[in-house]
Amino acid sequence: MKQNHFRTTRRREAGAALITVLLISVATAMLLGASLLVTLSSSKLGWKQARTESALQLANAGINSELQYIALNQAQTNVALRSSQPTIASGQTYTYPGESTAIKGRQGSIPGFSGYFFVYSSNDAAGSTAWDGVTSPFYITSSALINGVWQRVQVSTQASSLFNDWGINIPGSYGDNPVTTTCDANGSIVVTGAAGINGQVSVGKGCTVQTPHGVNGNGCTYSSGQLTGSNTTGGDLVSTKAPFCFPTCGDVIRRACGHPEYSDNDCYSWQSSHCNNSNGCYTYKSNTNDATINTSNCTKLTGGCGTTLSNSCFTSCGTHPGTYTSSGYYYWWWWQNPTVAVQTLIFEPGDYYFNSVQLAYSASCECIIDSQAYASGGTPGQVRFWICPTGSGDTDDNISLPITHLPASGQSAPDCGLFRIYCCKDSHACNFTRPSGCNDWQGNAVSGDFEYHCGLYACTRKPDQIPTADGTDCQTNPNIDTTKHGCTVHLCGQTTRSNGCCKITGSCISDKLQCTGGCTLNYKASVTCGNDPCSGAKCISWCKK
Amino acid sequence: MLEAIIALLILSVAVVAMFTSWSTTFKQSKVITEVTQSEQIDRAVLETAKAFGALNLPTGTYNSTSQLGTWTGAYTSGAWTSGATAYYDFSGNQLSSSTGAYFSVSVTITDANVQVGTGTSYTVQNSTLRSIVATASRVSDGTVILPMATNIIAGGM
Repeated sequence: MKQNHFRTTRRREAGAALITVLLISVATAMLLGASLLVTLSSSKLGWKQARTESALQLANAGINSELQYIALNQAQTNVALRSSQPTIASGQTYTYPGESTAIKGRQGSIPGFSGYFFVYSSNDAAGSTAWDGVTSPFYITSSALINGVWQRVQVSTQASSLFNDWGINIPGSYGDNPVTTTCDANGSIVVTGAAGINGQVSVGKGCTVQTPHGVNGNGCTYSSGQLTGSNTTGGDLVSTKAPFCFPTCGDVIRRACGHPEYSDNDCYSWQSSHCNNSNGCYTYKSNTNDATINTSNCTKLTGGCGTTLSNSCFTSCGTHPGTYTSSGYYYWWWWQNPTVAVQTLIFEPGDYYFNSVQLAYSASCECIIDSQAYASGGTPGQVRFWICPTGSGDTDDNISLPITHLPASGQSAPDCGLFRIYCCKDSHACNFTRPSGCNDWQGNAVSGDFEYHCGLYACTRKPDQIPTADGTDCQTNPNIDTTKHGCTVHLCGQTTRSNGCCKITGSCISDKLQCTGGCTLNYKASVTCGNDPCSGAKCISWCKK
Repeated sequence: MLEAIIALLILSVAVVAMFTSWSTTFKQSKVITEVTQSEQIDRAVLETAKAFGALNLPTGTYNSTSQLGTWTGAYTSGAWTSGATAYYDFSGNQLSSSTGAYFSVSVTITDANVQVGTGTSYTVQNSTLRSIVATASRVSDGTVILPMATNIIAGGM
């Protein structure tokens, strides 16, 4: 009996140990399971966090890729080709989380890195309307995908002015006329900013070209005859395979008027009917003795100015007070020169359309660009001259008269961004001349340069080559217009530079450039340039979507 | 007796499983730290590149076949050093040499749409897109842990 009891007790103890061990094992297994679960979750979270950050960087990369795309495609006539469209690409299957349709935009990637971005530009933040190439600010939206992890960012961007990139850019290299820049014998071209030139240059005997940074564009087409160390001094010389391309004058107006279907002639007609020639011209009042340009001393020029800007336009203008102090009656007094009445024509902010500009030097003509609207008391803004063809019988345009651009209050120099001259006559030249033998209204010799503070634009034909998508090479322009030959800006100064050069302070972009005598292209960035054609865009704000 | 033996066996298996699991957990934890640190280091390098700006980062060698410029190096001692490698300890602190290093980081900058100078030299312009890839690797065996990439352009992000 006792023996049986002992055996039963031993078995019970052993069973209890087994149960205890089993319980411990179950508890251990649960702990281990939980621990492994936490570890695996942490691991997954760690990788996801890393991929999220990586996707965010890639989404930002998409934004920058789009900025380059926009910069390289501003010469496209078709607005849909100037930026990536907010549409679903053919065959696209990727879908952003929470969206029911395939992802919109251009797909891109970074060399040597796995993952994709999808980017587009739009007028609105929602991405429902494609960027029209004009609206600013506009939006760029980029979504990136890395190993199943998505990120999306959006930036608001401000279009940047194409006048702010170059001292000069001369893009007009054509198969039948590859020479874009001509420096006549004994002339001198001094560029204080970057000088970009497609095609070839023609440098006459004794001519010097000086720039701190010369860039030979369209290197895939031209390998000789460009800027070289033997014809250029003052800085470094580099080259790009891709050509420089800019919109034509017609493109610029087409964008401004919002009629992409317009022909060039339609554009010029539209511009002629959207100008301030009749109401934007001012002059001095007849009864004022104060030469300060303000609303008290100035008045609107009755009748304005016509579409031909010539010296005769000044005959109906008021006289600059203080001039014409001695007439020919006193001329016989040896100490007193005869003086002339200076008649002043003032242009207030706005657009002015001319089909001919013929301004010879005259001491009695004073031309003033009043971008600060001192004379009218209006809102300061850009003054734009549109010099356009009228069909047949067009002539070259000539400006040999100084044009004074008034600075803002407290400034010593004007903002060149507030004066633009668009020369839109294909196969013609816009001549800026600093003549010799000029006397002022008192009969004294005029010294120094004729300096024009403005942006000068004269593109009527695109180069025969255009950049490839990434800008590393060139391709034949599918829209070559062989009926056009480009527009030329011809600067003409005194051969001896100290006698006076023809000087553009701001920027000059022209199909062709010719320089006779002393010419200076003094690059100066424009401060106010919201109405300029766009050369690209800059980010002004960023957000994660 | 039999029950005791079974209990002992179960206990042994449980203990072995526990140690194995611990080992796995520790290894996994280390991997997580590696990934997190690599992400932080890569991101810091890319942000440094952005702070320098597209026009100020160094330029490398132009390849006329690919028509791309390429620079390789690292950000060391407050400067972009061509051909160099940057080293970091396990806590993500940058070291002056490979001694005691756990991570190494190299940077590749690929430039498209550049202005070509003499020979293989080039300069960047406003429309040059500069693609930057930062790659963090484990020093002990050279294994790439995490690459991270972006690109920059003048006036961009």
